[in-house]
Amino acid sequence: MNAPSSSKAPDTPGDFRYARRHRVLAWSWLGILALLAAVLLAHIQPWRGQIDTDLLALLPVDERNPQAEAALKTLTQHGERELVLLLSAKDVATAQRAARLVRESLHQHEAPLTPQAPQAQIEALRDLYFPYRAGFVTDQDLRWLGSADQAAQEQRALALAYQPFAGGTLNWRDDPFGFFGNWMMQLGAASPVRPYGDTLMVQTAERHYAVLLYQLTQSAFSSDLQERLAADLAAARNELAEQFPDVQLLRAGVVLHATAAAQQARFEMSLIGSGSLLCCILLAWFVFRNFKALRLILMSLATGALMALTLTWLLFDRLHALTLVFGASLIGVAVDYGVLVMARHLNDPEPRWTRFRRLVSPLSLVLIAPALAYLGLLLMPFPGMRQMACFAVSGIIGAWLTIMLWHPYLLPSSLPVTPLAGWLMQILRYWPRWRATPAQWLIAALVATAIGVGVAQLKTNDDIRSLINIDPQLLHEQIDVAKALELPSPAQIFLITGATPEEVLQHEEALLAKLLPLIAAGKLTGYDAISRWLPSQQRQQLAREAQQTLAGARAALAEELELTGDWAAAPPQALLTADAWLAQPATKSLRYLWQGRSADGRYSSIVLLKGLRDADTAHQLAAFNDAHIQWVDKTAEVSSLMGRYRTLLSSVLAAAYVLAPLALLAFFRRQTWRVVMPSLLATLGTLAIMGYAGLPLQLLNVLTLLLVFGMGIDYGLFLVAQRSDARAFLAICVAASLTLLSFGLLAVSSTPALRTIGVTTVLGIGLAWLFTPLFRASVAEVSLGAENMDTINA
Amino acid sequence: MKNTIGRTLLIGFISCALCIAVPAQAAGDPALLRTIQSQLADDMVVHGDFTQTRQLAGVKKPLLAKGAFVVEKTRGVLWRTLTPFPQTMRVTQGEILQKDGDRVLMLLRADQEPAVNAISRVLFSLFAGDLSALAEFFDYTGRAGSSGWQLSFTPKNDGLRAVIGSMALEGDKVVRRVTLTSAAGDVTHIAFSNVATAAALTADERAQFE
Repeated sequence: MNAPSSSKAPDTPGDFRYARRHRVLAWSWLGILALLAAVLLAHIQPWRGQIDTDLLALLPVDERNPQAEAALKTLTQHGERELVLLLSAKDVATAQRAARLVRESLHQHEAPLTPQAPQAQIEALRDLYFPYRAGFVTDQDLRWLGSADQAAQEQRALALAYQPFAGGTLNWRDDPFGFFGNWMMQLGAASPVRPYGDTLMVQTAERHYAVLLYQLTQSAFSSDLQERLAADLAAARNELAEQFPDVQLLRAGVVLHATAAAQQARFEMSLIGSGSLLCCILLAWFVFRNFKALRLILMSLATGALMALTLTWLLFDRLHALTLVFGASLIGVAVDYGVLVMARHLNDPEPRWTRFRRLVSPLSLVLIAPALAYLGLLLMPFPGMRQMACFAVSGIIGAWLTIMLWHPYLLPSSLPVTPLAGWLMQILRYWPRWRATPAQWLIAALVATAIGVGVAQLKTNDDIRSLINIDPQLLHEQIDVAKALELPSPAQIFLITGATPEEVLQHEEALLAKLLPLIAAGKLTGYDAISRWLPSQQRQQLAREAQQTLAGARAALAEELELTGDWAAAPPQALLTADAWLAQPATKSLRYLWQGRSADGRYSSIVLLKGLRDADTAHQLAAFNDAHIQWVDKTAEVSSLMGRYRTLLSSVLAAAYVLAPLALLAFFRRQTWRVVMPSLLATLGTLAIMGYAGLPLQLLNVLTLLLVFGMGIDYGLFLVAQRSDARAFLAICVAASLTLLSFGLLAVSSTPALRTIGVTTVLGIGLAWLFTPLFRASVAEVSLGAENMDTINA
Repeated sequence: MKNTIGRTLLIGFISCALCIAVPAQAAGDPALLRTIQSQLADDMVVHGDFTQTRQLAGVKKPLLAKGAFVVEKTRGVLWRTLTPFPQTMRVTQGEILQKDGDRVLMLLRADQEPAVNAISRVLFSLFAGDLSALAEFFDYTGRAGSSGWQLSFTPKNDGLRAVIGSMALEGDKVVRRVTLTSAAGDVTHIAFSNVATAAALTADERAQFE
């Protein structure tokens, strides 16, 4: 980068002063780049491990409901490190043998996993509950207590006393009526998993599933863990396929999706990145046939990438893989400036600095529109989008600065027109031009009608699920696992709040009572809730009071069975408090249901639902909302948020088309419409094509159209500012085809979000490219407006 | 009065489900089991009487119960207590039913409570003397001579151990005596008498399995 020293002496005294100032800036830019490179080099090692593949990072943060957001976040974190493997077979023995094989295989390969406890360790829970057991009575036993007479009470206790395995896990004398045993048994509804021999099993009518539960030793997003785990699972899978061809292995876990997404992103990043780069080099080479021109373009790309990568990493701490994929396609935009400048120098006999000074104003204007468009993205509440915008803005500015500051030194002294460039420049002469003839007005009316009809057919779709790509095989397995294990949905939850923990538990119990009819009707299969494990004190008090009717039976039993001590008078027991419960290690794995105290001093918990399938039931559940109970449907909420931002961004886009001409009016006066018209028509045309093709309008389309606005205005601006020069047209052709090629490559992405961006860009930029020369000024009009142009070029 | 062996074992099996699944190594000598199994009669039906004595922790009076039982290898176990009060328990594949005369006290089905499968297998093997099936759930030690055999079992799973601390079986051609010690300290002795084997159920017994 010995750029400044290679410059030749300026050609005029004015240019000389200009060049001296410019040289300082060029050296500063080199210094800044060196600094950025040093930062990047120093951090590349720690940063490489922080490439995010979590698709959820793309989702917006719901600023309206921080409590629900916090609850969902806890839930995500809780499940992040879990990995569940099911071995599905037609009989128990085969499933068990297959499970042993997989367990052994994973163990031998030292997979980064630790076997995991399924929920709570009930023995520890039993010991925790023992001193408070009088408060734990099931609904069914409470009803029985309400109706049983003393004879029935005695009979129940005696029958238990004579049973070979009496008293559940307690001595008969500690639970003579079996209430506590029944209550503990009721906890079994929390999971359908049961041990069978040495394996955990889930048994359905047709299949027997052996269950292996694991916890990851590191984060699911650690690329090191992902690689090791993928290899170990594949090895286990191969062994299984050899020895048990009929046994299916079903996998579920965040880590599997993260691994798939990371692999996909890496593949696409290199495909799109190298594809874009190759297209750029080839096109630039064929158009300019000049090594120095190619060097300048590549240098602007490299500096853009350096700045984008370093700044984004510095600002966001983590980089999302999709940012890199999207970023790879930005090569096509960043290269525009180099191409615009280069095309301007084709066959130009004027001194270098004169040419350069003439370029400064249009080049400055050209940066404004796209930079503003990407800055608009920064305002979105999508963490992923923000990162992409930051990456894009810094990349584009980096590339632009290189062109602005270095190109006078790096330029070839002369740049002859190549055959391809000449041919492209010829096209402009034959390209139709808007002259406002009656025939053209007729065509315009037809086009306007076609656009109107197309736009009218446009549908919208804000469903977030249509943007996220999930490996269908993994999804299929995950659904099977969730069904077999009766896992709750993590996206639709109840959030329960109260002023004290006791209030929360009481509200929760009231809610669960309302869920029972839905469970009985088969609309839900169950729930996960903390009050199942920790009844409210009110409920414990109720259970204790109900047992006061047992005094007579206890006395009679004590006499008949010759019980020692003061057994007959059941000692009053303390009530279990939330604090005591939460303080026990045995309850640790259930604590994700308890949200605790939030910043506003209120307490909250979450209730998860199982087997929720239809939207009608979801509506019914949403109707349970009151001051303390809140139905949170993450999917619906994100979708409505997407819808709100789609509307907002559409207004921003419309406003941009109103404001941009006003701003440009100062420079272009009566020619302003020529600058704006191409991208406006391209935008409407894109919408119309989407309408005809049945592609729904999504937030991402509108975002992309904002980018189309930025680039489209640039094309018009450059052509008008360059007085309809064929060289400007050449620049537009090259720039647009590079954008089309690089963004077109996004259309091969397996991530629907990126594909949508790709398709919309191809449509929008393609149309803008076609429309731009249509609205060029005639030579006569250009000379009329020459004084305006001079103010720009001064 | 709807509490039974089934119910209690159920707690154990659910407990296991909620506990960590420790990969169990086969503890015990399979040759010993084969020797004993070869002594045991391999008839379709075993029936006889039982006397059960329970000694509960903290309770002075021993609790004595008597009754009759039938085991049919393909159907299940019928366990009829006659004194001090009549009660019937029937364990079949996928179902545990308890009756007080004709009144159904409890019905547990595997499709509602998955642990029923495992429970019926344990109870079934226990009364039918299917030792290899018991070995799925328990570690064991024991000895076998010409006049009979003894085996003692400890559960492989923590949850099951919470219910059955240990179990001891004694017998010759049939199982003669079972001792169950709960983890909490309650002890139950069951002695079998008038044990006979048959190739098929009597009409009366068959009716009770229907």
